[in-house]
Amino acid sequence: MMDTLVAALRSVLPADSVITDPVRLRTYECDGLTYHRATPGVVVLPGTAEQVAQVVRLCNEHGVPFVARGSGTGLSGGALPREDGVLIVTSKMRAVLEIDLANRRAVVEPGVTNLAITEAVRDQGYYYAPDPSSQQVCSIGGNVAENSGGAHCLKYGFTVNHVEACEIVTPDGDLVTLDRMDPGYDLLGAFIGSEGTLGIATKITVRLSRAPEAVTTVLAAFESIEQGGQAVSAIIGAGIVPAAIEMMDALAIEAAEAAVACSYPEGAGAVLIVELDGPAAEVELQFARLRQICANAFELRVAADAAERAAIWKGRKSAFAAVGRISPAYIVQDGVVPRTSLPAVLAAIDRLSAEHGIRVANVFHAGDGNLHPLVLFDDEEPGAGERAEVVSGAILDLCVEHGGSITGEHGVGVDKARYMPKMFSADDLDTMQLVRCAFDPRGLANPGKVFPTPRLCGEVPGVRKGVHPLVESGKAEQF
Amino acid sequence: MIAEVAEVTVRDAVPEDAVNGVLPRWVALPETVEEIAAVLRACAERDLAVVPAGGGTKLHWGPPPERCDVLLDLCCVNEILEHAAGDLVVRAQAGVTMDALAGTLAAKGQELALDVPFPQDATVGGTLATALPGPRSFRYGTARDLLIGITVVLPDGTIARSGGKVVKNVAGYDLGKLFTGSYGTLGVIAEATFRLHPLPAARRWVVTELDRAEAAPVAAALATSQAEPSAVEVDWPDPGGPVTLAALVEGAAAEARAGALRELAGGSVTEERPPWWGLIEHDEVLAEARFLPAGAGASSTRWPRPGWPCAARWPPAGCCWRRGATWPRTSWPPPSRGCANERGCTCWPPRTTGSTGGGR
Repeated sequence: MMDTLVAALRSVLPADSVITDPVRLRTYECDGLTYHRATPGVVVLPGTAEQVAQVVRLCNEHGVPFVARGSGTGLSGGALPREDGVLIVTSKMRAVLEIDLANRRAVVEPGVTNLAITEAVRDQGYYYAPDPSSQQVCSIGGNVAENSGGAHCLKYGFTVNHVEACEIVTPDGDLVTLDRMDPGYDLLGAFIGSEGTLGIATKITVRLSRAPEAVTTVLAAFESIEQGGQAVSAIIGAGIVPAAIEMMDALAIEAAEAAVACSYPEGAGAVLIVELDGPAAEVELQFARLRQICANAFELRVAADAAERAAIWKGRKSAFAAVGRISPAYIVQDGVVPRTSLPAVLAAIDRLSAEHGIRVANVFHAGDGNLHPLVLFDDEEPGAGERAEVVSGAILDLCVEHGGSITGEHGVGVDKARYMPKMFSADDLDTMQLVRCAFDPRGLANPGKVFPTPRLCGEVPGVRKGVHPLVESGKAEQF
Repeated sequence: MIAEVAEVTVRDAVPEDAVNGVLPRWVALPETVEEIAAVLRACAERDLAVVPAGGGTKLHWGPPPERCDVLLDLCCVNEILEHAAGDLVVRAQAGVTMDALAGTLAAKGQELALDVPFPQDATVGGTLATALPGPRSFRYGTARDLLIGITVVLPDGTIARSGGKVVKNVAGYDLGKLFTGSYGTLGVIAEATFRLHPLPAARRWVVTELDRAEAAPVAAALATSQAEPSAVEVDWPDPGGPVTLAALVEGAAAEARAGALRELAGGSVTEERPPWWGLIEHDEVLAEARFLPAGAGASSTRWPRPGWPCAARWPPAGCCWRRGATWPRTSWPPPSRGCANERGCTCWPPRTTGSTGGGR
């Protein structure tokens, strides 16, 4: 089957766009989540939307699953390939097609990096707001698939709030455009964040934002994480919506210091990075209030210029990689709790850490309750990896218990599909599956991701009517 | 009818219940999500067509329903379930009116940044189902951008949730997006969770009257100003007359920012909302068109252009041009609704036990 498909792919794509060489295939065996690996059956590098559509149509003809991949920076295995499938890589589709400042939008191909959009319009005083940490390399197509956020989504929202339209190839190979301005169902809203299970974006119209008049970045050092948390609550309570509020605990600071010498205040139990932006007059008032709120910080640094701002952000942005300096191996977790539950959840993480003898460094978007605990372990030590897994999973349980989410921005992918039933009921998941089946009745688009039990659409949930006979007869129980 | 929906109040429909001229046979008045599910399940089993209704302010929009056996009146599913002020989040049932919600939120200095028309009667569910944005969607986004979690009941009675009560959340498909603007065609919205904003400390409008030719470039300059207006609106009641342009700024420094906008547009700064601001005179809207902001310079004779999508929703990032012509309808205002339950609304007509069964 794969051989005839490969021959067909070669007939519609340039020779160098179809990869079957086992050595080259290995380049694509994982995304940013490296402990899930699979060698793709074949990799294609289409150069146009029409070529993507042709590839998808051929997959349909041959009944072969396909997975889309942008830059491969995803952290949930959303772009994990299938050994029995085609990996469609958008890295050749890197054109910025149109910049329309009068309408504050840009039209780009999916392989364009997030930061490249901002770089194309920065000189004119505009930028593209969502800014995932990987923005220098991650692709806008991947951002659409994952509904990526970033440090500034507290104020500005996510990819879904900044995309006006997408041209997509549907799972059966049609090229269609979903536009926010179209009447009818908000299919664009459903598509964004569907992790490649509802189709592949081939052209993306993003909204450009006007650069703020003023930006003030503040680093506040506190003796304890509790004090930092109180400051966050006070900021929100004062009616201030900063562009970003980030927090790092002592262990994360230690790691960042070791890696990039960010020179955060010595002896801090927690540092808070608060960025205020907007009209200068507004920022000035908010900053005055912020100073009062952070009165018990033992050090408060204010960036005087862009270089100092970058210095403040340096430690935070390098935190994930930095823990490599203090631990041979680590798991990056991504969970969300209501902001007011942060103190309780952080205390519980401390207890988990002590109980299992596993260190946890906490880096988080404190403004929106999005935790990124870094679970540290030594992969040489027998059983440590397993214990780290236990701690990492227990943190997600905590998030769900506190009414939060198992993922704030990294996506479900292959990594967290098994956690979905902790957050959603069978009816919830079945209803989502109805959407899946409306787009992808054959289940060929990125199968095995997001949902725990892949169903064929023939088995789409019927109406649950009454009690199951096995339950009624006392032979089974439902939990 | 629906005998097994014994716990749900059902009454016979009266002429005032007609939806765009189509008279349902029964009106169901569920009080809980489970009761909504019970009604829908019972109707599905009998092939009865259901039209969900909130405050009824937009129920007559669009063509009349092809069928309407049961009007599912959600006015009694009207509890504000949780206002987590520290988390800037509120969870409310579908029948809560927008005014009631705003009152609760304002008590803690917060708001749901949707300025929907008819807030006295318009409900949370109806606001989502029709997705009609107001002027401030320019800054805050539309209903779909502020909705972070939803509970819906599918036509077969399945209760399904997506999203949650945290703003940042990418787990699973976002059913809320699909139901927002679906006009009740996918199922019934039962509960919704929204992200909130602090109430702005101050508001100022910059209002200016311009010739038609000046309007578009000035509107564009206002919209992209670093003074960050929350909305830029146009009123142009007489196609031969001048255009009134108004921009809203919100925040503690509103006065200074409004001054900056006046430099661009001329006119005056006021604390008073212009009388036409965000107003849809009851039923006077003839049509709405969406176009990109730069299209605002088009003259009325070229509008709408072929290819510009028209819909009962206006653009999220443009201006709304309202023509002076009216198309009055006969049945405004709709009957007020509500129930005399412990949450304090008063039903119209008074709740009665369904004469054909059910009721309490």
